[in-house]
Amino acid sequence: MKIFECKRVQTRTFWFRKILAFIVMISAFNVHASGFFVDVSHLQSSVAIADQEFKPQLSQLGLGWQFTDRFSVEVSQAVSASDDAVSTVTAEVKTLSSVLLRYGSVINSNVNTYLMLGYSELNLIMTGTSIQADEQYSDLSLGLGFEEKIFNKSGLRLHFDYLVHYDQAELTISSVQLGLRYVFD
Amino acid sequence: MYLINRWLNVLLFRYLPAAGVLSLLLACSSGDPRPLYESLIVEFNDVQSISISALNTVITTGENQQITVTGTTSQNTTIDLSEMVSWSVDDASLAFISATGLLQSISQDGMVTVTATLSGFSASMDVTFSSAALVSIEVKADTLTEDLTTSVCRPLPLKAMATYDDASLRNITPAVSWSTTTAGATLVSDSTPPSITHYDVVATNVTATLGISSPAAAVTLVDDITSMALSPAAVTLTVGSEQSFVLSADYGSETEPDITAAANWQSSIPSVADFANNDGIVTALAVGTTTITAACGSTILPVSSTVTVDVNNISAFEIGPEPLGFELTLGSTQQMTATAYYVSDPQTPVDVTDQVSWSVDSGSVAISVDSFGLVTADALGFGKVVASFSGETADITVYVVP
Repeated sequence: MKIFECKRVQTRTFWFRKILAFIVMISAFNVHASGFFVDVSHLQSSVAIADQEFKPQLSQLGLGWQFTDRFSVEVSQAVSASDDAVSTVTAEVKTLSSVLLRYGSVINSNVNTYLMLGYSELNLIMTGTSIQADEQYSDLSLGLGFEEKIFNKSGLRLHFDYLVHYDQAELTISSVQLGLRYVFD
Repeated sequence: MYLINRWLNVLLFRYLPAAGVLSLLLACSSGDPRPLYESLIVEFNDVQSISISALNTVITTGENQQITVTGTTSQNTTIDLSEMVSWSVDDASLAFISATGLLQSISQDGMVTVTATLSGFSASMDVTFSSAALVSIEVKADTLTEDLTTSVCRPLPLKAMATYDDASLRNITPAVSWSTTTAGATLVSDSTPPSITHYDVVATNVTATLGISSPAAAVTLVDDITSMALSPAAVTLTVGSEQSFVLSADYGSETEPDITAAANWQSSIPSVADFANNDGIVTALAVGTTTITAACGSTILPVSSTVTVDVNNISAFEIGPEPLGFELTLGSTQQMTATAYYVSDPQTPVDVTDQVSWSVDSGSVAISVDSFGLVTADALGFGKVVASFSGETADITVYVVP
């Protein structure tokens, strides 16, 4: 089991270096449209475990820096908005913290699509007849999404993202996010 | 803004790769979801206790065996938890066990204790690995009494028990090959457990083989059916279509809703409709009516159903090239076409040109037609081409012009 984990880290490291080098290279030569941004999102999460799926919801606030139209980095914090019950068990993602690198392609002056790579840490609470679990999980996060300018001359953008925050054999936690992002050009 | 961006880019270029790798290592998954997973399995399935079992407690060294964990709920129902529990063996030099409970002996004789745990529940069993040689095989019924007696058309579950030279008795059912020389006996060897059925009271033998063969075991058949029912009672088919029949039987104290696979199926006129296999599925071959019968035992007369293969299942029949008629110049030819639409699929045209009987109407001297539907304009005037197919007819007027 330990050997398997080490191999996985080595593989991830290899690809992370490749991706990171590519991102840095692109961003070094493209310095347009940079600026801070704030992001407010609603998250519909999916907690899949033991052949069941819970769908608790969260509200999220994010802050980030956009280097170019293509590349940005964001730190976000989400807190629980509602829990979800299946049978006798209730699940709640109490907090979800993420650091994400976002790289994408500009389809036109209003629409971007992008991939996300980062790290998430979350606090999952589950209660049932015989369960009182309060667990912390963290994992590499991967996702994709798109954003669209709401007004042509405004920094306000509507975005829709899908992210897998945690994915191990018995437990997968992902989310779909709908939010508004304002870029201070 | 430009300076800030440039400064951040430089920072990224110099330091982020190292920071990235470091963060990636930190990002390596943390938190073990297994305890939560097991707790949820117990909660969702209402598990009150678990038990462990295997086909044999002694297996041949070097071979493997599936270990099974069964959970009992508060409603006294059971659930297979073999793929949900955590498995362990106390001596890793003798064997290892997979996440699904497959115990694999390594290479030496000995005994291991296999333990399964699930959120506070635990169950163990000892398994011995032995290099003892197989001495004999005996076929038995896989029932509480192990008695090789059953009713006609009723599957009898089988098992093969082996005696080894260390005096151990082992169930080797999954490893043996099964055979019977009895005509009409249906031996299903790839089911769990294997089974044998026969539709009549005849001497039926079965043999299990694994290197050596067991003595032929005689299965006693009892003819105790009190009534049978066949469904559907009557059916109308088109040529080439199939129909599945279901036979059920009442054995007095019990009813078997489906003994179709075990019955003996026959058609009174096989040229109209017949069974490709003895499985209750009849295929319509030609227009006509036949009676199919399903028999089990001899106490109750075979039950029957009528199968009519009927041309009326053609919803439309037309010929071409122009349904309302067409012109041909003197001496020229025209290939006719015939299309049928069936009730079972009225939207799909079926080309039946080569199955049609072609002719010209009596008195039509202007045209002639051959057996393949090729019309020839022989003289000025007009004539009628007639096509007959499965009781349906259609005609077209052909005008022969200069």
